[in-house]
Amino acid sequence: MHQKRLLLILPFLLSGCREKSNLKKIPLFSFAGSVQETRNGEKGFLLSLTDAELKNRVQRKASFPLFVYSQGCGTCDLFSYTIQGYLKSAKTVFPFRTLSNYLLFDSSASFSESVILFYSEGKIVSTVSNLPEAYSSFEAFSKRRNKYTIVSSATVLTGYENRLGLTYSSDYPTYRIKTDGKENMDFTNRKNKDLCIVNSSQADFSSFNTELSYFYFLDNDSFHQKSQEVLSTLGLDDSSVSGKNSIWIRFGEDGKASILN
Amino acid sequence: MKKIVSLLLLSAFFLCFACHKETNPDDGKVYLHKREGINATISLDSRDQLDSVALYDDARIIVTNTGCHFCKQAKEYLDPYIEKTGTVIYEVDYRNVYKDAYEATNPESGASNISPSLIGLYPNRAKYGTPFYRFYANGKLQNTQASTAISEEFFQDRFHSYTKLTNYYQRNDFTYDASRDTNVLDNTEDYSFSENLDLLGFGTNRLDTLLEDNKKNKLVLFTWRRCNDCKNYRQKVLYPFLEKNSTQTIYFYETDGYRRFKRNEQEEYQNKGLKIWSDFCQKYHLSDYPRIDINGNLAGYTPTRVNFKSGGTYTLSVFANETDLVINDDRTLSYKTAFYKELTSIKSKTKLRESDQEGSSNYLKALKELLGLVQDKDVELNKEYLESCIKKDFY
Repeated sequence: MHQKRLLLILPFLLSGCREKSNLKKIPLFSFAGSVQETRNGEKGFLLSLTDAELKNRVQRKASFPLFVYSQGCGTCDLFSYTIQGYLKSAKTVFPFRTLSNYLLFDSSASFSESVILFYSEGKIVSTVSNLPEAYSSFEAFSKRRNKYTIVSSATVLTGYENRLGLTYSSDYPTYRIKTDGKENMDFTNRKNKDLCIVNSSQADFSSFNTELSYFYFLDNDSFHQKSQEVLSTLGLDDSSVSGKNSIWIRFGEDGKASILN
Repeated sequence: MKKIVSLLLLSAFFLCFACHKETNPDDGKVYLHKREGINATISLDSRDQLDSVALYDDARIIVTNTGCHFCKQAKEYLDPYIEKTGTVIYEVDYRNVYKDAYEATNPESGASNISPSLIGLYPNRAKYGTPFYRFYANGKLQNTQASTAISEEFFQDRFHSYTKLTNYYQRNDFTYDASRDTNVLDNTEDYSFSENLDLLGFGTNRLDTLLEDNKKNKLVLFTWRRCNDCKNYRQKVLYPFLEKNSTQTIYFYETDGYRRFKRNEQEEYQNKGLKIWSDFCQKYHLSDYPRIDINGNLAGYTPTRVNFKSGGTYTLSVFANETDLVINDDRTLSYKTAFYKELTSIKSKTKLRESDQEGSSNYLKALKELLGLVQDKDVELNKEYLESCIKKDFY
């Protein structure tokens, strides 16, 4: 009798143990700057976010992972190898902030060690601490990362400034987004692809279609001029998108560009 | 019934093991360092300073409160004890620092998203009142002592049951603040721009004074509290050595201020930090095992020991910090550069497969093996170095 009862409640118990996963996955964008050649060979690079950039992402309900690095000896832990392996393999944008600077943004956070935060639509949905244990290898990192993130087919075209020269630790080299005219604007295989030019400090991140083929992030100061330049290169008239913070472009079957918004 | 009893006994047995506290070698006591010329506590005036000590140092902290009669009374006995023994006792103000730390790290106070290493570090003080003492080692709270009983015997007996005083002397600068009857950590005037950065100072006056007298050998360890290699060195080489040679004096300089400064996010501070760290390394010879920083400055590593010998010469020894990981022809891993050349001939037992990438599980397995083998040999070589320094002193 007892066994029967147990059998009856077992499915409920088991379903209660299952994790609710109605979470929208966090997109990771491909980016050429995430792997660069250095004098010590090829290295994976992290995107160093400024305070304003982080604030803007959260306010605009962006979804992104964030590696918060507690100042310490990078060579003394094995996590630097894990993240290096991941970056070299996945070549995606992975934002970075030092702990002391992260605390300027969120003074209520109580971290003393390096953590990875997963932001989904502007909110932290997971905090992973004890990184060398939690992500004991590059495979473990990819597997657990996949729980919250999805590697998007979108590629970031924006230029970057190598921060290796002034890095916090050569084990965690970083870059910053920069619009210096050295962006890779190669649309050779653009047939049936999309391009989104974004004013990253104004745009509403939550509305982005992350399966877009190309993203071109620009800061507030350069958005107007740079977006005009791209439109002109593609032979497009910018009058219809004046005042907009994101411009959506479709390349048709014949490779010809047209503005969607 | 017997089964239940044995199960309970078995569980209790495992629980006992799980509760075992990790302290320092031998007797489980917290190893404490000293400072010369000290006769009062050293004040930790911010949450950052408290965290730095509690998480990374082996230390004893007294928590006091403004207007607390027993605190004032305790300090009257504490000062002569500090002067007599040279022991370092950190002082934390309950209202200005400890309370914040408690509230930020305890779920019961409503704090969330707390890093596991901080949970339990600063328990509620309600049941103790002030003053109370906290003993920290290996980033954990090891013991608490709360008593209003005050006498010299109290400090001798009660403190010594939790701690072990070693002849390990810190040479970072500090200054006495008579208005508070406490010492404050140095913030050198030359670097006044860093005042708001909450760093341990950059002052080297006390270190330089020590080194000016070159009639006697002085062994100085340059260390960084946030570096696991330094922690390993302390536990595997230094403490066993001090245990065996209890009359031997070893000095140390904590480089936390320099190391954090050069990691500042602001470019201007980073450049300054890199430059002053480079100057420091060259002045005290850490750069003899060189590291070229990213701006091309010549720098060095920690932990490094320099034996400043009578007559102005010196010898050097560096623990860990092997670099240039290479995959050998036989697919094993080894280091190309190490302070002790013999460490470069050590190979991992595991061989990498062609498909293994940096950070893959097989790669990390080989790396862990290599690190273990290299560290064992490194411990041996560094112990030999310390022993040789004493022998040379003797002759």
